[in-house]
Amino acid sequence: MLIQKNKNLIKLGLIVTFVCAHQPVMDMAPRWKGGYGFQIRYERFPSYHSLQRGDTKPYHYQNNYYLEGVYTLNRSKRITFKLPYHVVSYHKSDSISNYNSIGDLIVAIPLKKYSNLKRRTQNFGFTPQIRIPVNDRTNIASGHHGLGISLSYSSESFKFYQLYDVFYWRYHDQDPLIGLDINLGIHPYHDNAANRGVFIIWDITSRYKIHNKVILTGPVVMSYHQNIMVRFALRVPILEKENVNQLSKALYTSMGIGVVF
Amino acid sequence: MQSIDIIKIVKKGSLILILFSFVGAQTIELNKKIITIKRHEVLIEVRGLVCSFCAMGLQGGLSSLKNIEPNKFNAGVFVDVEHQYVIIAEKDNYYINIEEVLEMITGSGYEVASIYTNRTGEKIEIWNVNTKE
Repeated sequence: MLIQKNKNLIKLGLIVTFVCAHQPVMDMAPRWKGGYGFQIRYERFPSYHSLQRGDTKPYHYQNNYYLEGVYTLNRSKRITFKLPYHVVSYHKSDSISNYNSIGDLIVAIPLKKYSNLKRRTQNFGFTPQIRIPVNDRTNIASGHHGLGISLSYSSESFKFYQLYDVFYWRYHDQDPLIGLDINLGIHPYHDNAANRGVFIIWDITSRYKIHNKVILTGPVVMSYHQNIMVRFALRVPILEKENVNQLSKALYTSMGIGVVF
Repeated sequence: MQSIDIIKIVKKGSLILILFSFVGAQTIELNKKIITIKRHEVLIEVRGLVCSFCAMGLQGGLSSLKNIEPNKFNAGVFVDVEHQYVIIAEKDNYYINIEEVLEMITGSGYEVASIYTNRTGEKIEIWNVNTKE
């Protein structure tokens, strides 16, 4: 019984590694010297069927809570951290397995080279990252040392926003991960006097491991007012290929609130 | 009947022209927007200022400079990210230090494209950004 439970949890662990992969946090703020901020984010991956068997009986709910922080040395140099807490529930027939754990700490140093163009800016980014386990247990998403690197390009005008970010993670005990994130957004509303507005972004998230290929896509809505921002995202899988038995990710939802000073 | 309408149109047109001339002396066109610069206001066109978080950073930095009138705008500073400019309100009979403004903006990673002041309330002065004069 215990062995079966652990097998189930290991399968789920493959999913969690996708979730933890991306950095940096709060890519948009703060952009001033000495600025800092925090963000609390919640995300949920419900899954209803096995990718290989087409079986609708087993399903799971994976909830991740993140505490994210950022310190801005100047507009081009920042330090970020991300600390997850995972709550996973796996249901099969009459058995339910639960697993709660603090995840691995991810620290990154996003470095950006900005160009101020006529009515828009662009930047090329380079981000070294490190993943550090904070507890002794190696299980679902915790206990995996890793080193990552990210290369990005972003362009922004008052009306439009675009980001392309390709990254690579190497772990000491599992297959490496390659990812590509694309964000294409518009900025339909902004009030100068109150400094509030809305971004609407289309997100494409792709992850590749030796036995895993996943592409998720969907909209992101981000609203801000002065130093507070709220973000809500939906994503659906448009490609899921898996050689090892794994569950589909179904509809992904995420929401977060951040504050910068 | 027709001649009365024409007279009305001419009168309206003259009034608009007079108003436009009066305001025009205190206005500039920047990135397709007509902007009025009042007495004790400094307008700075900033390259790279395209987002609200850039606005927050500049607003915070500029409002801490000397001789800013904190009761105008948002702590003395108005930021327009759509048209990429900042207006700073000066205290009566005090001038802000333009060199400090330049250093603050460029030190934050942005570029100053142009600066306009209206210190007499009668005429807009255009500053030479390169020589800071």
